[in-house]
Amino acid sequence: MPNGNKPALAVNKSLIKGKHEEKGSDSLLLPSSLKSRGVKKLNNKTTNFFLFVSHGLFIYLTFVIMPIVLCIYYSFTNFNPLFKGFKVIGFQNYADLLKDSAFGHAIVVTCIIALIVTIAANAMGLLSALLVNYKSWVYNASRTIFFTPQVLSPVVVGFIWSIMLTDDGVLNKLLGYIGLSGTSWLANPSIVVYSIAAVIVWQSMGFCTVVFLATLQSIPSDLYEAAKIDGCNRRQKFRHITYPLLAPGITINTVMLLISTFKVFDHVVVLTNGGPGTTSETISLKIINTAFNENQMGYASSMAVVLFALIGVISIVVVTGLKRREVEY
Amino acid sequence: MKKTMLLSLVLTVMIVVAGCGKNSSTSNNSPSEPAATTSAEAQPSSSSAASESASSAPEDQPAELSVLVFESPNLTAQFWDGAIKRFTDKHPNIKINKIVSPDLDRTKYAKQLLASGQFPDVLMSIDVQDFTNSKSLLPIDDKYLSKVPGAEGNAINGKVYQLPWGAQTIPYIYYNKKMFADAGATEPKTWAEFLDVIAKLKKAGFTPLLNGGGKDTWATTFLLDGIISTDVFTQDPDWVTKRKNGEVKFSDPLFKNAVKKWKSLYDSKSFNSDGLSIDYSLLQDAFLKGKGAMYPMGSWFVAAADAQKDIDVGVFTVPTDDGSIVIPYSVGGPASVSASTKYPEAAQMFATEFVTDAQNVVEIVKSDALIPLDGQTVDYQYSPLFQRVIDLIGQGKKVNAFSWENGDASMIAGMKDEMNKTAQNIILGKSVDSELAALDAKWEQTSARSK
Amino acid sequence: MLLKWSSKAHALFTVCVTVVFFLPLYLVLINIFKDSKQVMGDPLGFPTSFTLANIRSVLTRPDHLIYTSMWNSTLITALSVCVVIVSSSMVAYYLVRNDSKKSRLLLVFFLFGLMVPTTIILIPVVKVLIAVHLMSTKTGLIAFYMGYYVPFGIFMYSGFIRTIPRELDEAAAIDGSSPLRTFWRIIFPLLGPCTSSVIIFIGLWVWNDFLNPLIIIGPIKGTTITAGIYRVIGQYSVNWGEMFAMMFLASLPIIFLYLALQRKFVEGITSGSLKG
Repeated sequence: MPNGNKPALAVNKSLIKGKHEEKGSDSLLLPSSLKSRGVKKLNNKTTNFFLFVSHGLFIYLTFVIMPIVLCIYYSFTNFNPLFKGFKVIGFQNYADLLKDSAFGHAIVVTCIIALIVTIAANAMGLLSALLVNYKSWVYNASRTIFFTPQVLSPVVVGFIWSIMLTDDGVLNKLLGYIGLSGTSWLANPSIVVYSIAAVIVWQSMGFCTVVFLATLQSIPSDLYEAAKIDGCNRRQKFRHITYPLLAPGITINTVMLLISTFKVFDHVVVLTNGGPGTTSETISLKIINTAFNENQMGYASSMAVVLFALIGVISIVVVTGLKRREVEY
Repeated sequence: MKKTMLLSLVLTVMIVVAGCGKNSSTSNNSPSEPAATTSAEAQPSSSSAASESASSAPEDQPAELSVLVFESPNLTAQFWDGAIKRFTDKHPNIKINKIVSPDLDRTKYAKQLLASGQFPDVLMSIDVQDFTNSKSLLPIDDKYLSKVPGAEGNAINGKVYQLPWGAQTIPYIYYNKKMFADAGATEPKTWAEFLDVIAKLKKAGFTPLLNGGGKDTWATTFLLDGIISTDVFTQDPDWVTKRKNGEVKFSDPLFKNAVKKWKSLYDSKSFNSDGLSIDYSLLQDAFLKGKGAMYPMGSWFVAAADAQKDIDVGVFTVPTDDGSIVIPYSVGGPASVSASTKYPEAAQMFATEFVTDAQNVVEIVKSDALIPLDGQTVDYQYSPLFQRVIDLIGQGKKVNAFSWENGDASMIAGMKDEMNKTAQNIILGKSVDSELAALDAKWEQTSARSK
Repeated sequence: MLLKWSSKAHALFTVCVTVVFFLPLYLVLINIFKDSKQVMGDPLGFPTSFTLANIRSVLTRPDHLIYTSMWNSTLITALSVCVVIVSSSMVAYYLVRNDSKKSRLLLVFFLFGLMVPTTIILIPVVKVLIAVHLMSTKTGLIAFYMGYYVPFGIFMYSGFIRTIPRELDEAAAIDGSSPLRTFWRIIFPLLGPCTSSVIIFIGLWVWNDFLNPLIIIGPIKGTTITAGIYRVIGQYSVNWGEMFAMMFLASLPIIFLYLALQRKFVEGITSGSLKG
């Protein structure tokens, strides 16, 4: 559960579930005996809607939907609390965005981090899951440790690693012991993005491990027995049974990681704050800096709209793409 | 029983929700209201009313002030707490809530607070010009100004938004005496001698110059600020005013050459390589631990240098082409007052007493090496390094310290941050020409918006 | 015999990998108890002179940061989780049991909220909170969390409620129980596993959240633990021992809960996401 993200494939799945649901009668909260009394039913229905849904709906509208609408509106203005008043300026912000090389750079950085984290955390999660999928206290302890970074705040993780990665930090000292010379992990412009990605991989690997373990354990054992009878060796078993049936796990991990890394903020702010210069600035960091430090709220809103569109497109593409691979059994 | 409890729970939720609903619908209708400007117009009447009541009653009106401070290695929590306590002991009716900026860039934090509608009543040492467009700061009343010597010096269009209490030289170049001796180097006066010193230090195996930054972008530009102050401001003391009128540009040769001079030091690898990843505290630590020979920094470093015994620190001014001594000099002070404060009188009183309190001034001289202004008498025994810093001021020509100017001489809003970013980009290898052109474009854009 | 040898090698390899993985956490644990000289000189070694000075100096900060922010975090997390559970379970129950085109649309409308990152809505949320005078209050932050995490709660609960037979509701209704009573007395107790998933997920997110408390609660009325350590960390950048002590203390409650309820954590998280 890479921090703060939510399973976005939810939308898709529940849609599908909704379709399979048998058609119920209109007001299932009422016993059928009461249904004939039309007036009462209507009253009850509105009361029930009010009792059950209104609070959630209201607060959701206030703090999610209305802000999205406002954000889109702001993106067409030059709103800046450091100046008096503001006006609608049409697509000016978006036109500026197209010319803003720093924003383009932020998109590239975000994509690199997202890609590395998704692939590396998945791969390492799978390997570690295969490694510890046995019963013994050793493997239990390993599992516990692999998962621990997951429950820590990204702020804490970021600070711990920032000490590891400074020039005379622990990592360089360790490399020194074995005769290698390190580098400025957080100041070298050609490395810093990978350092950040590595820290996020360290933190999110445990999540992948746990998900893969659950998927591995859900694979029916008779499949392996059948394979044994057919004379398959270990590698064949993995290739033809385990790997295809891991697909749901891969889908979950990929979607969770992609979405969480696309809005990555906490790690970056603590590790480098976008530096050196703007080398490691991600989209989220750029939005928050532009909005709350440079106070260009209108311009930042247009970036937010772009990020939102990006996340929407990516989650749809990834979910549909990965779903196709999954095998039913 | 349970049913009634549940019902009452639901009822309370609904009441709360309904209450919120009313408010949020009004907010919905006017999302365009900028939060910060509302109280500016209402100011004069309430301030005059408050001053009347203040003059008629000797007792202070009860008030609660939030005060934005920043903690540095020099100005610790104890300094601020002590100063605040002295004030509240004198004025028991006024309650002070201290807000500490998460890093030394308190202007950035003040902007964040302004953006989120939490602008404090009193703000310490912020860049005033960034807040003039939104009229977020209150011009200090004459009756308070008269109590502060030299207050008018930092006026913007005749109005004082920040009360000064001392001067700083930004930067001087501090150096490790032992490293200089080992390398056979002496204090340089001209730029050529400076390059020679760098070469000698390199030969002796030392890192000649230290710079930092990382999360503290403002810590990157000290030497650049010095070079621009000495090279540009001696030629053209009114450069910033001319830039405001569009008569000069960042991309003009005068300014560009100063930047290129600075850039050449990076090209010749005269700085530490991890400059952009270490923050201000680590940077200072690096110099005090002997990781580099020269350290361009503001005069407040004197306090930290005197507080340690690891290295012997000397100082010289930023070398110039002809060897003349130029002093980048900045008169500044801590206290500004928010225009939207509920207690303008109490806030201005706090600001005034803060900068005039004798013990505060002694402590700031002691702990932050603030240089007292003419007319201020401070009972303090200066250390040899501190005395040297003050003596140098008398030997050279004073100019404004670039990007640390105050009052009418300061650049327009936001340019200081832009300058810091530009500097980091240039260190990372972007071209000086395009970066300075971008800086000009940014200036035009901001100034067009401010009219 | 060969098999036993290979399983031993496998175990050894696992231990090695785990040790490397654990290194950063080991550093934190070990350096808390060293004085700053040894932290810098020998970060990996065991403490030569065991000291509690780092922890003591963090705990005795004059601003009582650890105590106040820990209390704030606990309060905010507990209340946010409660309101999200109450609200989202009721919404999910209604929407699942009243299956119609409208309620399915409403469900999708709610689940759309799962896709929205906070960075996108934070600017307008600040405006909304200023307008309702909840800016820089804990109530404001909790209200925001409720709105932001209700979709997740609905997503979890709606999947789970589908597995509960309708006959239960109908039997209760025939007995004359009101829908509200039916839900809280009969259905909600059956949602236990789902509720614990929701508690773990949202509890972790809220406890570890950083940006929202940093901006929304602001500096005046206290802070949460994550935003709190971010605010003061500048003072520790040259004192690793105290910095690690700060990190350790800030994470202690969550680590403790995790180790105590490890199975529940892992189950909650996997069942929550696998169901998706």
